[in-house]
Formats: sequence, C-alpha cells, structure tokens
Amino acid sequence: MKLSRIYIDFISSLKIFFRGRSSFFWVLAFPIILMLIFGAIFSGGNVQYELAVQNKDGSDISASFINAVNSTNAFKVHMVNASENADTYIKSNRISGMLIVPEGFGNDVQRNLALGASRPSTGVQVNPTTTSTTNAIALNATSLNAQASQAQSNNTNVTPAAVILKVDQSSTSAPVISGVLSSIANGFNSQLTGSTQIVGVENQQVLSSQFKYIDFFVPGIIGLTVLTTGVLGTVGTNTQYRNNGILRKLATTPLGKSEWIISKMLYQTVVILISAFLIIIVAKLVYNVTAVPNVVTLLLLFVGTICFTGIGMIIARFVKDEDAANAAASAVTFPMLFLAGTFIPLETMPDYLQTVAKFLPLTYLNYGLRDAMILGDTASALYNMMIVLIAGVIFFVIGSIITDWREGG
Amino acid sequence: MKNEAEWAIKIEGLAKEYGNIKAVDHISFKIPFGVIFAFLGPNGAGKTTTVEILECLRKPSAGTAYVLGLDITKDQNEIRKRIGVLPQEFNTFDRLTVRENLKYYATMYDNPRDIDELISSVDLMDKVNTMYKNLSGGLKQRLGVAIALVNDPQVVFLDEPTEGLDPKARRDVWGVIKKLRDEGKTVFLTTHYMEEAETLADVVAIILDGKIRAMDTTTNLIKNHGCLAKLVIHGGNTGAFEALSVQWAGTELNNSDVIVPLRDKRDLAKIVELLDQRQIAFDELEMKKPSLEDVFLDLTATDREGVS
Repeated sequence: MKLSRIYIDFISSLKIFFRGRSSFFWVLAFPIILMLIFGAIFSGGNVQYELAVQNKDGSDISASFINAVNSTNAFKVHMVNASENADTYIKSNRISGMLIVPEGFGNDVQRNLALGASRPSTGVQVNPTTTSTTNAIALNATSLNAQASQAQSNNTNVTPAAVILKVDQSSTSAPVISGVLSSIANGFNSQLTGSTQIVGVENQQVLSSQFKYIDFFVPGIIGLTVLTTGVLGTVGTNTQYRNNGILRKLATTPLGKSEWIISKMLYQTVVILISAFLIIIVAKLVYNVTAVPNVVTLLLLFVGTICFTGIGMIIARFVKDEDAANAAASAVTFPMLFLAGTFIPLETMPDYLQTVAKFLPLTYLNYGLRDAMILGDTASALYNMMIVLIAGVIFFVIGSIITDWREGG
Repeated sequence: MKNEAEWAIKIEGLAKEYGNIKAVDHISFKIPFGVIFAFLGPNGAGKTTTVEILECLRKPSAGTAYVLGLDITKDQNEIRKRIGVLPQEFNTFDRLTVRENLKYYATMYDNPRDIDELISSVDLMDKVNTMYKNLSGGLKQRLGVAIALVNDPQVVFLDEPTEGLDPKARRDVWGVIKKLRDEGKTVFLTTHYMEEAETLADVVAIILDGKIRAMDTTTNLIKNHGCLAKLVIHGGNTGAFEALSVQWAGTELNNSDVIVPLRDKRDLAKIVELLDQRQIAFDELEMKKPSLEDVFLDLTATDREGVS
C-alpha cells in the first residue's frame, strides 16, 4: 500500500470530476435544484388569496371587521364599490371569492351584543357562485364556531349578524378562504364580547413543531447526495472503467485494488462534503435554515459514504453492462430515497412502509443528520451513526472482496 | 537491471479453457531478450488470452509461463513492476491531459522514467496539455505506448497497437515501436496485420485456433513456408491456367490473372517456354516477392485441407 498511489488517483479523480459538466451538474447542482423545488412546493409560506370586499354597511363595526380581514395578511383585498352588483362583478372580474358586508350588519351586531354576552355576533354565510344548488345548501353555514353552535342550541332567537362570502366552489382555494374568514369572525366575536372562549386551541409548542418542512428536508437532501454519489458514482466509475478498458490497464500496473478503493472512498467523501456544504449554504441563504454541520455530521457523511460505496461495488460486481448497471443502481437508490423519509417524514407513512424503512441504512443516515444538524441531539445522532457504520462495514467488506480486477481477484 | 533469466519469455504447455472452448491449446515457445516478437493470428485465435495470461490478468488452465524468469502464477507483483502493457483497445482517462495521464501511471511505479523525455520520445511535445479525449486515434496509441514505457520495463506487451488506425498513423506508431528495439527492449506484439508483423518483427509466431502453427525468424518463415516468388500472368485466362496448373501445384486463377508459385529457380524459364510453345496469349508478366501473408494463407489452407 503506497500513499503516493492513493494520492494521485484521488487528485486525478477530483480533476476528472470537476472537468465533467454532467457529473458536476448531477452531483452538485441537482440536489440543490431539488431542494429549491421541494422547498417551494412545501413552504406554503406567503400564499395570499385574492378577495373582493364589498361594504354595504358603512358602520364603524363593519369597517373594523374589514380591518380584521385585512390584518391577517391571508388576503389581497380589493374593495368594491357598494353600488356594484356582486354577481356581475364576480363574473366580469373572474374572481374566486367575494366578501359582502350587508347593509345593517353593524346594527345586527349591536343588537346581538345587547341581547347578552357569549352570544355570537358575527357569522359567515357562504354563497357559492357556481350554479350547483346542492353545494349552496350544503355550505350555507351561518355560524362556524363552537360558541355559535352552542348559542344556537341555547337560544334560537339569536341570529348572528352575517357577512356573505361568495366563492367558486370548484376552486381549491374555496375551503381555505371560507375557513380563514370563519376564524376571523370568531376572533371578532370574542373581541366584541370580551369573553373568554369556552372551547379553544391553545398553541403549545412541542420541539418538532418549531421546525418547518424545509428544516426536515435539508438533511434529507444531504442524505440523498450521500446515497446517489455513493451508489451511482461507484457503479458509474466501475462499469465505465471496466468497459472502456481502463481497469484492465490499471490491473497490469502495481496499483492495488485496496489502494484504488481507498482513493475512490476519499474522493467520494470530498465530493459529498462539497455538495453538503453547498446545500447548507443555499439552505441558509434561501430558507434561513440553520443546519450546523458538526463533527458528528462529518462522521455521518463519511460512514454513509462507506456504506453506499459498498452497495455500489456490489452492484457493479454483478451487473457488468453499463446501462444495466446504472438501471440497477437507480432501482436501488430511488425507492430507498422515498422509503427512508427523505422527502416525506416517515411518521406520515403507513405502518408497513415504516417497517420497511427500518431496514434501510438511509433511514438512519437521514435521522442521524437531522439529529446532528437540526435538533442538536448528539446522542441520538451517534446512535444512528453506529447503525449506518455497522451496515456500512458489512457492505464495504463484501464489496471490496468481490470486486474483481483480474481473474481470480 | 538485467535479468539472470535466459529467456525474456518462456511458455510451456500453456492452456486456457472457457468451458469447452480451448482458447489457448497447450502452446510452448521461448522469446530471447531484445527482439520484437510478433504473435500473429486472426481475431479469436487466442492471442489476447495468451498475452493476458503473461500480464497476470488471467490464470492459465494448465502449463507454466515465465516472464523475465518470474513465474506468472507466483511472482505477479514483481512481474507487474517490470513489464509495460498497451492493452487491446487501449484507453485512459478522458479528462486528464497527456502529461497528467503519464504522471498518473508514473506514480504507480517506484522508479519511473522522466515524463518529458517520454513525451518527446513519442513526439507528443505539442500535445502535453491536451486532454486525452481530444487526441486523434494515432496520438492516443502513441500516448498508450509512452504509458507502457513509463516504468522503463524490460518487456513491453503491445496488444493490437495499430488496430483501427489510418495508414499514416499506423506508420507513426510503427516508428515508435522500432525505437524500442534500439533501446534494447523485448517487445511482445500481437497483431492480425501481416504487414505489421513483417515490418516490425524479428521473430514471428503464427497462432491458429489456440495452437502455434509456425514460429521462426521472419525471413526463415517466408523462405520455408512460402515459395521463392510468385509469377503473375496478367490476362492469362483459363488457357494459361489449364496449361500450368497440372505441373505447378497451387496455381490460381484470379479473374483473368493466373498466379503461379515458383519453388525452383528454373521455374520461370520453363513457364515462359511453355506459354510460348502453346502460343498462349497474355498481357504481361509480373514477379511478386512472397510475404508473410503467403505463409499465413499457406498455413490456413493446410488447415482447411486437414478439416475436409
């Protein structure tokens, strides 16, 4: 074993990597693009729904209700002149939601307030804009909060002062718009009556709830890089060099199989570190995700590389045709990516899939990376690292032994 | 470091079987130091299998072989240090330059040759910083030869070094190979080009279906297996063919030309006399020197007779 041989192969591999546009793209740019795409899909962050608002009342109460609607930032509000015909306006402007504060709304609210506390003052009446009448009946909810239904059952004399929401029921945003408006109405009720809510949801923050999807996803993307670089990279290099004769040439030199494998391991690790570094930088810049790579993270990346390089060597040994080998490598990596909770948290999957995930090394790598980088749980990260290490040593030893350069090893 | 071994390569009863197929069928021969040895045979004759056994890439099914006096089944590490190899369909790292590729292979050995000296010996000075993928076929092969020489080996194996090259590039590679003899290297060259073997080799072995059919110096082979010369009677047609084929075995009719192998110095005079006597018309006469190709065709013809 000579270090100079390992070094020259390592340096040459890096040069070859950086000079190849496609490998450069797939290994470094692709995970980042994937992260940006998934980040955009699941961020949900600042989605605003367009909402036309027509105030036919003109009282202080109606003005403050509209203020409340405005202040949620959930809607981009367009005020519509009180004299406009609502249906005509919706049709000609092709809007999906219109809120109408009817004449007398302020008076209704005050009358309800006078009738007593803990009475619902405001409700939302949903009027579909589509022609489907069944929808219209089903959704003709007048009052949507717990207080309101309680009040209704206690005292049928009280009819809430209703604002009318006209929405296109075929639109996917319809339930969201009516839901948000109902909440606003509830809040408004509480504010007016000054009552404490009888039923309410108190937001207690548990640890995981502090984290957004992207926090979960960034370590997953790094896990993806380790997996694809390890498996696809190893299979690609081995089959390509075997088929174009480079392995045969190398086998006639004193370069040993172990020197070659160690060099390739180091090379893969460096590529993965570069990739992980870029992912962390982009995650910080774009999503303000603070994924802190520590020593345990580096260990996890290294151990993961051992594991997936080993799997790659095993595939490359048995599937010698270049195209077939790449297909086999993809067949191993892609299901593993999904089943190991890279894109979707494992907890949301059916039980039997969670059981499958328990047998995949990527699951533990993903857990470990999350523990180390996001949750700061070193003990758990080390535990997961040990599992990846054990699997890794098994795959790597098998892969190293069966990799054949020359007939009979 | 010269070797105490008597022969550069010594093979005894070497065989390689793949299932029922005998790729190499118990061959034996010895190659002295400092010669260019051509292993000549058609594709699939067993050339590459033999070479790959000598390069320690394959294990023989039977027999022994020594390279520089070292046993190919026991002293593989030592052999690898002391041989140079240009594999069949040679390839190296596409995205490394000529110099980087040489540097890579130089690092594999303990005492490599000077890289610049090697580059100039194969005339690649103005391509040192060109990536391998951007070289033409001939230049790629020349880099391959330079890489095979990077450890200053005593024996160099060149497996089909000019396969797929155009005539100009082929001649350039030949020039590089001829220089190796001047440097005192032993060259083991496999080829299926007769002309290549004839131009380069001091010693030729012809392999057919895994068996050595003939081995000698190039001159002796042609002398012994071929004929003195060939007489081509252009425009001789069937008339000349019928008149001559009775007395001169191996006479051929090729379109309108009649080709007669001459085995005796007086054959030419006799033929001319016979044609004159019978007043057989022809356009012109041409004498052709026999070549390895004739030896080869002679051997394959005997093979076919043996089969039928």
